[in-house]
Amino acid sequence: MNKKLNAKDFILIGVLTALMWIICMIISTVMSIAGPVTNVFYPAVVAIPNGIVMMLLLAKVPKKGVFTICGTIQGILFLLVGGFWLIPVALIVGGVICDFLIMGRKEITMKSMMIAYTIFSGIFAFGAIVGPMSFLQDAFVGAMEKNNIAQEYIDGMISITSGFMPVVIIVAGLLGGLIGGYIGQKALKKHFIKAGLVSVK
Amino acid sequence: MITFDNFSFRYEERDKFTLKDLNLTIQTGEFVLLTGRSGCGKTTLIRCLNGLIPHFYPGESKGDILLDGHSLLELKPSDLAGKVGTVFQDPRSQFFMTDTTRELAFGCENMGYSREETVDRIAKAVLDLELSDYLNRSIFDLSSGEKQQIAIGSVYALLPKVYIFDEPSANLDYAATKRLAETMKRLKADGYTIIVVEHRFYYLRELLDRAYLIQDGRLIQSFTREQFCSLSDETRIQYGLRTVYPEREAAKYQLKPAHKSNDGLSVSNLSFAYKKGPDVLRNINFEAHKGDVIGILGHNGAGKTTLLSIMTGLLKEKTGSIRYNGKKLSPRQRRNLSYLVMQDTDYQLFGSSVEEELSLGIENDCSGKVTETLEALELGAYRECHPASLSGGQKQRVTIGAAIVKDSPVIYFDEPTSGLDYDSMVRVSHLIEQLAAAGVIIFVVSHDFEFITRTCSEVLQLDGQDSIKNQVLTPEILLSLSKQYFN
Amino acid sequence: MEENTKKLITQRQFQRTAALDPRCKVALLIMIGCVSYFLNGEICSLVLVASFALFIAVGNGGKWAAKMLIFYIVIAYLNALLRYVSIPVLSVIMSVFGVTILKLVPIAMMGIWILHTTQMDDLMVSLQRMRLPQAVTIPLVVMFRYIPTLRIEYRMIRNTMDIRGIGDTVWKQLIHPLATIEYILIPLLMRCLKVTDELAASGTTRGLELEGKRYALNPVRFSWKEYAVTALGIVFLALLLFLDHTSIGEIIIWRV
Repeated sequence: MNKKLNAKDFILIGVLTALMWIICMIISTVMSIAGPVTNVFYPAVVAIPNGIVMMLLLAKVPKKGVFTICGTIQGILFLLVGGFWLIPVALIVGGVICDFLIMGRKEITMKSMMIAYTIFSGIFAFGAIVGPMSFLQDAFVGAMEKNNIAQEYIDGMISITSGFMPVVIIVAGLLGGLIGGYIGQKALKKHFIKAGLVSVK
Repeated sequence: MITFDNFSFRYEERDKFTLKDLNLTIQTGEFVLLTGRSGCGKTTLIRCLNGLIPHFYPGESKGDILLDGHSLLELKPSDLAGKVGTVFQDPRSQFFMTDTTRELAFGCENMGYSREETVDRIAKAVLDLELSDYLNRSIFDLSSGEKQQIAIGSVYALLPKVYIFDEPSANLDYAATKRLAETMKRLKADGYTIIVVEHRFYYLRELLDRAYLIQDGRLIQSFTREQFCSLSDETRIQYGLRTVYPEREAAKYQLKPAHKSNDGLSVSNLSFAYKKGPDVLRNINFEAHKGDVIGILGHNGAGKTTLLSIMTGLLKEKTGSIRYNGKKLSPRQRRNLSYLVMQDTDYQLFGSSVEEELSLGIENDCSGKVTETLEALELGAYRECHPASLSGGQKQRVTIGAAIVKDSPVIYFDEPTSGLDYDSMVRVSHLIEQLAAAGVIIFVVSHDFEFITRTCSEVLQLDGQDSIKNQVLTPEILLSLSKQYFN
Repeated sequence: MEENTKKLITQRQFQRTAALDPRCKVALLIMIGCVSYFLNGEICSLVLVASFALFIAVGNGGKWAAKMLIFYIVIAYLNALLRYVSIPVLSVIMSVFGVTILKLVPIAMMGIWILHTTQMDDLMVSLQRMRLPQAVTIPLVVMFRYIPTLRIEYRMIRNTMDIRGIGDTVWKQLIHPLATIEYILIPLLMRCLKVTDELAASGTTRGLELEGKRYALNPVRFSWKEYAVTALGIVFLALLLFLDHTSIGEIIIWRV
């Protein structure tokens, strides 16, 4: 098996990343409009439909580097639409980690695909929500103090953003990845493997 | 000169060889037509010529292919970029750039030509192929025909010696096909070698030097132009070939029995405009009765697709009414009543098996009907298969099957014969006849003269006139149509 | 005739600031990205948005800049209004959210403008000049090409679903969300696979895989203009950051 990525693989990565990116934008916009509480869980929800896309991508291009390229491209796009700089960093780091994780073995299996995707979603949840939240907290507290907002308010905010919430968000991200990966693999078996378009061990 | 020397090829994932012991020589400057039934190996053959085989589609090959004495099998597609140019079937999905000028430049930029040279080459392509009206436009605003011209221009700018066209007319109307033929004529006059894979090859009859018939991966017959154009109908049909002279079909037309029941669809004074735009459709009136097969004709941009969208309830009319059995229909009611078989079946298949596909969206139990329909469509053997694993013609029959199970009283077909070989075309035509006989109202948007002649009982011409009505199809109308299409 | 054609071919579709080298635009974007999140003063944030709106308006982006500026002001006012609403927890989260949006506006405004005013071949050339491998350039270019197409394909699939009565009502979508996702995604993915095959065939037969030096139709060069704009940008943003830490940063402009 030729393990080097070729132009066709790059194009497939481009096309499917475009799809994942659009799904991510739609869901994050809808969830942001729905309210700030749902907003923090968007990485977990996005991971579910994107799981189907990612599983297809990994099955179709079982080579080293897919996660990294995918993460890099999404990171660049996040940068273009105003994402906090931690998002691209998390996406690229996550991509590299996952690539090594899957490629640690010789053959890509359903199991390794699922594990890698779950971790990728967890890291994305960290980069997209938890990281910026704690970074912005300082800036925001400063601004509120300047505006003479009651101390109890500020305390309230700190307790929400620093206590258990980050853990919940990351766990939700991991869970979203797991569900997405599971549904993705079911869809893979039900449609793409059955139609003879891809094959996975 | 291109020589296939006892060449065989098998795709990695298949057991059988797709091409078998092929011996074929194409002279420099020759205009060659490759034809044969769907799945006979034509597409595989041209993939060997532009380097996609074995580089992109790996597999096992025997024998050799030589281009001017060099083996093609050792060359990558990118090495062949300036030597062999390919224009692919679907003009929508072969563009890399989002505007036309840059698409023309794409190949040259890949080759690393200097800016001056790229501009020179594109300017030559634009002047030679008369593309200046298309410059600096978004590719999303172009019609299929225009896209194809740009695709040819982009290949032309690389100055290859060999041109390959893969079913270039599949998505074109008659005017665009005519233009394509003119472009090909020019390329031929300039001494390029041209290889065309095509089912509907009537427009090549003045151009081709040789035609090759491929069957089941083997070269079965070789014809000169005279031989090919004078094939008798029996032999032609036996080989599964479309006609070279579709206009002659007009004379054979037999009036279809008229069904003038009172029931049916009636449209009066229909007009439509996209937001703030000018009217796309105006003053359209027609009546359709059970058993009618109405051909919707018109050039690209005449509003055929828009009309289908209104009739199927996807768009709301601006003025006018659409009635069924005398009752005025809302868009939603129209959607329940109708079924649209699209040109691209990819968009229409959702299920994980053919059986599931047919019963999707139906709430009550329909297993009996599904089985019946599958048998009638000769799809019984594929019951458990995934729709995506079927061939183009089979996929189309699956979507028609879904329409039958849904019990739609009105079925619309959008370009049902694009990319189909003779056998599949005849099959669709028969199916439509059967549906009509069962009392379904059928509308067919088509550019395919042979198919229209064979299938339609009435036509609705969207070109030109102020008031558009349906007419019973007569030999006279066919004659005037054939003049419009073929002269 | 030939001269005219060549003029048409090399005609620039974007003028002034929009004709800057893509690298320069992206450099500005990244700088704005870094600065925007650290500007806490209201006046400095507004100056940042307003000045870059002007920058964009000069380069074929007047409408877009005006839209984003108005959006910014509306959100800023709404956010100020929040101080008078006191629902515990929720209003705090709301205002964190509001502040985040305000910080996002200048970056998104600039980013989307860059997307709209950058020719694809200029982009490919400048990515190549930045020594990025094909692994990044090809997927990026394909994405820009494919995102508009996705909308068309999605529409086609939804049309069929409507006609066939599959997930055609909000009710059906709500009770079977996963099935709806499947019905939309599977045909879309099937299309993606097909389009990939065709794009790859059409690209590679035109030399996509060659890695020689590329030249775009218009010169792509980091000239003195780009250096000047980048330098000015750095000075301007540094000044804003500095002013933000002085008493100017304390001024509150959004009052209700």
